[in-house]
Amino acid sequence: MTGSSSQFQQLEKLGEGTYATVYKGRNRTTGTLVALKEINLDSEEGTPSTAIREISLMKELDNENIVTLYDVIHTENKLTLVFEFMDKDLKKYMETHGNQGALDIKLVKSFMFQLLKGIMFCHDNRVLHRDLKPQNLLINAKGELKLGDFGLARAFGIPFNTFSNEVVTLWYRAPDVLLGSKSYTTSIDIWSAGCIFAEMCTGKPLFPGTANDDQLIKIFRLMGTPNERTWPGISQFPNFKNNWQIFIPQDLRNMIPNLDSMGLNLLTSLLQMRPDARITARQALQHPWFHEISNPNPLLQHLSDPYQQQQQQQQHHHQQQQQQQQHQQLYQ
Amino acid sequence: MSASDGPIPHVSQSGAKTGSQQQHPPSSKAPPPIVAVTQVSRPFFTSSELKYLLQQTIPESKKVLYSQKKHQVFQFVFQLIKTVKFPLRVLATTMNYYQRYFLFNKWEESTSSGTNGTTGTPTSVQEAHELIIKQHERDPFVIAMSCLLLASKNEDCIKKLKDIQVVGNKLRDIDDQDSKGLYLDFQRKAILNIEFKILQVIKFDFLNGSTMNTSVDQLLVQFCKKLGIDYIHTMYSWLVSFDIMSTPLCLMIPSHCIAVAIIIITLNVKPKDIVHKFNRGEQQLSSHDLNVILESLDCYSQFRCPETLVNEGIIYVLDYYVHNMNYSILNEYMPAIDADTGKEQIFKFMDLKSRFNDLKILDEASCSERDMLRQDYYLKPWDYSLSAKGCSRFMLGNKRARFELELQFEQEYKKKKVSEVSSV
Repeated sequence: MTGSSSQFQQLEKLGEGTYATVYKGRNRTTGTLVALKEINLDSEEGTPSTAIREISLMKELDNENIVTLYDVIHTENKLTLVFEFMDKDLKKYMETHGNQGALDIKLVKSFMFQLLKGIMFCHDNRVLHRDLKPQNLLINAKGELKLGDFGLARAFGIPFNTFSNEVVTLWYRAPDVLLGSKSYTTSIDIWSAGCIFAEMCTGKPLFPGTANDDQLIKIFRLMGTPNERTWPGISQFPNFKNNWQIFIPQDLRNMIPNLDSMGLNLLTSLLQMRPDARITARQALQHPWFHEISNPNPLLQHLSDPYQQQQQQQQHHHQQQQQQQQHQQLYQ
Repeated sequence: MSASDGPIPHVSQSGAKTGSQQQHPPSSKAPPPIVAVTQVSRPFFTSSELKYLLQQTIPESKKVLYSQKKHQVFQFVFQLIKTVKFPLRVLATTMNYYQRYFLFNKWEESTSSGTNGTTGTPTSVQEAHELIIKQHERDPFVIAMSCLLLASKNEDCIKKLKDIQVVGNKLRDIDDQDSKGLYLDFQRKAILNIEFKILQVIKFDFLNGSTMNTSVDQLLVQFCKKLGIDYIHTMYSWLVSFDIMSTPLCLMIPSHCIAVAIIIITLNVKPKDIVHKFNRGEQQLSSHDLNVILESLDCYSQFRCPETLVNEGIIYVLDYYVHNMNYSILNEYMPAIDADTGKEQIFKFMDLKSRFNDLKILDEASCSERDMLRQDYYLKPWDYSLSAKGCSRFMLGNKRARFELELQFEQEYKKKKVSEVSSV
C-alpha cells in the first residue's frame, strides 16, 4: 500500500496481529476512513489460510454487527484487506473508558446485545467465530459494537470431524474444548460471550488461565468441578482426569456485585459447563434483561447512545473543571 | 501524502454488469502515474465465453492433448487427496481452480518438471534457478498441487505444503530427495508463485458465486433427503455428480443448480439395478413415487435455482453422457443393458435429450460474437506484472454500492476540471 499507487492512503499503524499489521487508511476518492489489514505472506506456506478463511467467510456476512470487508488490494508482493474503520477494540475501550476497566452496566447491556446479535447472525449463516475476545470486538464512535477478525472462523455446515482444538484464546475457551472435544459447535462462541460479559462488568478477565489445565481449574474453582452426575459423559473426554480437585460452585453474585439479578441469570445461562445446556444467541437476545432494548417502552425516553452519553458527560465534567479553574483564577 | 492531496480520479466503470476490469490512464497532475485495475469477481461464464477464453490459451491442435493431460492430472489429484485424507470437496474445488487457471493462462505441453525443455542459456546461478522454477510452473501436475494447496486452505483442512509435495512426488515416482533439498525448494517456490496467480484468476472470490461454501455432492445428498428420495436414487445422483465434478460445468452455473439438474435427470431416468453394497434391504421408490416427486419439484421456491440455469445444467449433463458414457464412473455401477428398455444405458440419455430439446436455456445473444467478446475487459489476458507497477483492487460483488460513490466523485472532479480549463 505504498505511496500513490493505491486507492487508499495509508495513515498510522493501529495494531499488529499474528498474521497481519493493521493501519488506518483513507479512500483517496471519497475520503472515507478504512482499516487496512496488511497480510504477511509466509515464504513456506504462501498466503496464510487465516487470510483466505477471513476473505471467504466475511464476504458472506453482511450485518451491522459484523465488520464489513470491502476490497482485497494486491500491490507488489503485498496483500491488503480493506475493512470498514472502527475506532478501537473493546479491550482498549475498557482501558480508556472504564472505571479500572469496568464499564457502566447500561453500556454493558448495549454491547452484550450487539455482541449476541453479531453471534446470532454468524450462527444463522453457519459460521463459527471460534476466537471471540475483547480484542476482536470493535467499537466505533457511534457506540456500535462489531465482530472482527474472522481468521480462525470456519463454516460449520459441513461435518468434518478433525476440528483443531488449538483455537479460541485460552481465557475465553469453553470447558468442552479444553476437555478435548472436537465436535464442538455454536455453543463455544456463547461461552466466550459469557466470559466477555463478566469482564465488561468487572474490568478483569473472568478465567485468566495460563495453560490448558490451569484454565480448567480456574473454571472449576468458580463453576464447581464437574462429574458424571452433573455432566453425563464427561469421563469420555480425552482430557478428563479422575483426580481433579473438587470445588463446589460459587455464587456469581460475589464475583460481579454490580450486576442485577436478571443480568446474573443471563450470565449463568451463557456460562453453562455442559455445551448443550448453554443458551443460544437467539434465546439470549430474548432474555428479559434486554427487554428495555428489544421492547422499548414508547413512553420512556429512547435509550440514548451510551458512547455519546459518556462523551457528553466527560465534556460536561471537563467544562465544569474549566469553569472551576477560571473561577479560582479570578479569585486568586 | 498530506491531507490536502484531495481525491484522485483513477476509477472508472466499464459497462459489464457482472464484472469489470479497467486500466486507468495515468493522471497528468502532480501525483506520479497510476496504474490501477479494479475488478469485481465474475465466477461464471457462458459456453461461448468459455470457448473464447480457451481459444486464447490452448491452440486448436492441442485441445485433445489438454483433455488427456487434464484427465491424468485429475486422477493424480484424486490419489493425492485420498492419501492425505482430504474430503471430496477439496477435490471438487481443486478441479474448479485448475480449469479456471487455464482460462487465463496459456497451456503449454510439458514433460517432467526441472529436467528438460529449458529455454535459453542461463548466465548466472540465480538465472539458472529461476529457469528451473519457471519450468516447474509450466508443469500441469505442479499447477494442480498449487490448486490443491489453495483449495485445502479454503476448505479448512490444512496440511503442510511440504507434506503435499512429498506425497505428490511419490505418486508420480519423482525422486525429490537431494542432499540440499533443492528440488523441493524450487518446486515449492513454483507452487507459491502459481498460488498467487490463481488468487488473481479467481479474483479473491472463494465462494465461487455461491452463498454457501459447499460442493455439489454434499448439496445433492441434502436436497435428495429434503425431497424424500431413497438411497438408490440418491446414490445414482451422487455418481453423476462425481462424473460431472471434473467437467467445466462448475465454471458455468452455481453448485446448487448443478445439484438440482442432476436430481431432475435421475427422476427422469428412474434407474434400476445399480451395483451397490449398502442399504440393500431398503424399499425402493416406485416409478409413480418418483414422478410425484418430480412433479412437485420447484427449482426456485425450494432450492433458489433459476430455471434457465438448471436447464443449462440438464442439457450439459445429458450431452456429457451421450458422448462419454463408456468412460464414465456411472457406467461402472450400471448393468450394460437396461432391464426396462433392453437397450444400452446411453440410449436413456439420448432419449431424454430429445425429449428435453425445447428447454429454455441461457440466451447468449449478448456474448455470442467474437467482436463482442473481444471488447469485454474481463476476458482479456490478465497482466500479472500489473500489481508490481501499480495496484489491483478486487472488489467483492455485494459491496458494489460503495463503488458508485467513488464514480460520483470522479464525475464531479472531471466536470470541475473541464470548467477550470474552459474558464482559462
